[in-house]
Amino acid sequence: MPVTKTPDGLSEEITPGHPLIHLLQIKTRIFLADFRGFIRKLKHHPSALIGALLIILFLVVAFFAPAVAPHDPFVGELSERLIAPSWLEGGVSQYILGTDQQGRDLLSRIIYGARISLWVGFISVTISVLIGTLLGAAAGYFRGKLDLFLSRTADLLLAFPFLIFAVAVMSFLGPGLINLILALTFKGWVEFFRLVRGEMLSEKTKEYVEAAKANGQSNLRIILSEVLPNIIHTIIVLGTLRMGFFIIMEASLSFLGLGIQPPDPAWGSMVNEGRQFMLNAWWLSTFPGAAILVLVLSINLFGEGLRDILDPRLKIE
Amino acid sequence: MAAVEKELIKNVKPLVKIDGIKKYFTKKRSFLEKKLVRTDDIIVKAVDDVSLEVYPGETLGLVGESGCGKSTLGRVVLRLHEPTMGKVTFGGDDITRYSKQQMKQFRSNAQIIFQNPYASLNPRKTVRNILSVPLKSQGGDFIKREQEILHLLDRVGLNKRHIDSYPHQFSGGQRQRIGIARALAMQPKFIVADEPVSALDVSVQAQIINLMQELQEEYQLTYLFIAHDLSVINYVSDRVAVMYLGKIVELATTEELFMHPLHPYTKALLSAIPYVDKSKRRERILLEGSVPSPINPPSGCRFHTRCYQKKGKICSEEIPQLKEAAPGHMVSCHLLD
Repeated sequence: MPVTKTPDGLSEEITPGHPLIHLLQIKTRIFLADFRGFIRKLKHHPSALIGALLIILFLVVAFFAPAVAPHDPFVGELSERLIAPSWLEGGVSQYILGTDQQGRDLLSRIIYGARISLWVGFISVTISVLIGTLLGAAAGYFRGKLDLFLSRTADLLLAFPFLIFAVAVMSFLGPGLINLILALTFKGWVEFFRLVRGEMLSEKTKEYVEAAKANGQSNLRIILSEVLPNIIHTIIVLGTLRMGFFIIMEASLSFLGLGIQPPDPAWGSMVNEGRQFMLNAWWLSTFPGAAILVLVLSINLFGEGLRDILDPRLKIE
Repeated sequence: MAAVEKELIKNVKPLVKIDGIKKYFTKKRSFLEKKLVRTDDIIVKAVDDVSLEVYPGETLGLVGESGCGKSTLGRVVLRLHEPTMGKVTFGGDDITRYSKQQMKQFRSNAQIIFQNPYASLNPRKTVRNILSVPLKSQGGDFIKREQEILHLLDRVGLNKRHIDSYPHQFSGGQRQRIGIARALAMQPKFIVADEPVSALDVSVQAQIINLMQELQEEYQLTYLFIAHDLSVINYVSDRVAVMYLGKIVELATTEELFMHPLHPYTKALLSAIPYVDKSKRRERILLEGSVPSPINPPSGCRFHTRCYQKKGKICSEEIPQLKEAAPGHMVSCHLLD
């Protein structure tokens, strides 16, 4: 019996013991091998690595905000307002990035603001992915009237610029976190719909789908367990990239006063508030703006890197 | 041999009976296109009125150029495509009328082996996952399934250590063995082999064909063997059907067909087989032009545009019927009238 390649050390002799436990062991081993492979590739991709590290930093800071933030982000000393960053003239070491017009610590507000940005980005991407994948898979697999209807709806939504559409929805719904997420997902699912539909169309013609049909699998099972695992990596990549975009949209809406409302420390509304003091307290707008820039940049770097790392062609061939 | 076969065919009921199957693919034009450009829906007549019988235990070869509809026919027989018209009976039952529940039963009786072993296995699934899908539909607990997978791997000539490997870790021939194991796992009676060896190296082709023949004997399988390679067809088939542009043009036992081809198209096909032995070589018949499009197939005999023995007007006007020219030898050609 010719043995071609030994696959990543997986198929040693079948070990004795209960087969179910054996299967579990194998699944764990496959998972660990995949994970190690992912880390190895990440290490060889500097920009993705930098992106990943920065994202982890943001996540840790946001998660442990109460412990990390030096001050309460909501309460300020009015007597200590508009203090410059600590390294500048007039700065105090107590307030590293200075204080705002109400005497609140800017650094603490930025730290708490990370929570809002990450949360809005994550939730709206997740909902968009779920809706887009579900509808896209159904449209691509079943085609027909359903596909026609959904595709035209998607085209219609795509005809509007994202921000203008979101502004319209927000002014209709009114400000607030939940409405913000609604406004973002209302149009956000379209990208995922188009991606999944296209991938489904091309996967559907492959013979393994027909083989599954010949094996008597139901349509639902074919979509979920045969096709989706093959396209999930493209969804993950797009999801990561869209998350950066959604964070910018959240900041833009908050900047326009339609998103998160003061006193909640959203980066976008902080930039807007600081605008009035631009000439004598430039740090109020600059640092939240920089936070948006760095977070979105790192997410995009990581997303672009994921695209290279998860590309199945690089893996299989 | 031939006499025995004929005797067999007379008395045995066909396992699969394809009756007047038509499969048209339609590309619908939109409302605007119809109004503005004044075009109609495009209809591709992939399979156009084909009737065939497959007897239990035999291998029926189906040859034809690419695009002649042989793969489509194979899929219609398994109801992977719904036929536009006509019916397919399996053991006497019309499968085109089967309910969902009956289809499940039928799926375990009839299976398919695919041409491209690279596309027919899900790249994200291990051999274990691929083989447990058909086994799950058969019932049985996990441990029994595990044993069955190992048994199947052994039967198709793969090492049991391959159970946790992914398809991309195998060679083309090994992948095809997995594909065969997957079909076999359903314990079918009837297998449509859709060009199972045409994507493989010649040396590997022989191994796969031998494996399929062993399995046929062991499990009393019936094959509908689709191929474009005549030497493969000659080697595996008991009977051969020749297809041209969605129609069967000739049907006979392998021996008869290769010795006495009657249809001009079959003659041209056979003359293209390369032989090393000079005495076996036939005079090469070169057909002019290329296969017409199945969107607008030629009128009358579909082959008349390229036929070198055209009889006259009748060829382009009247559709020839499949008639028995010699015992068990069916031809559809006006030349034989």
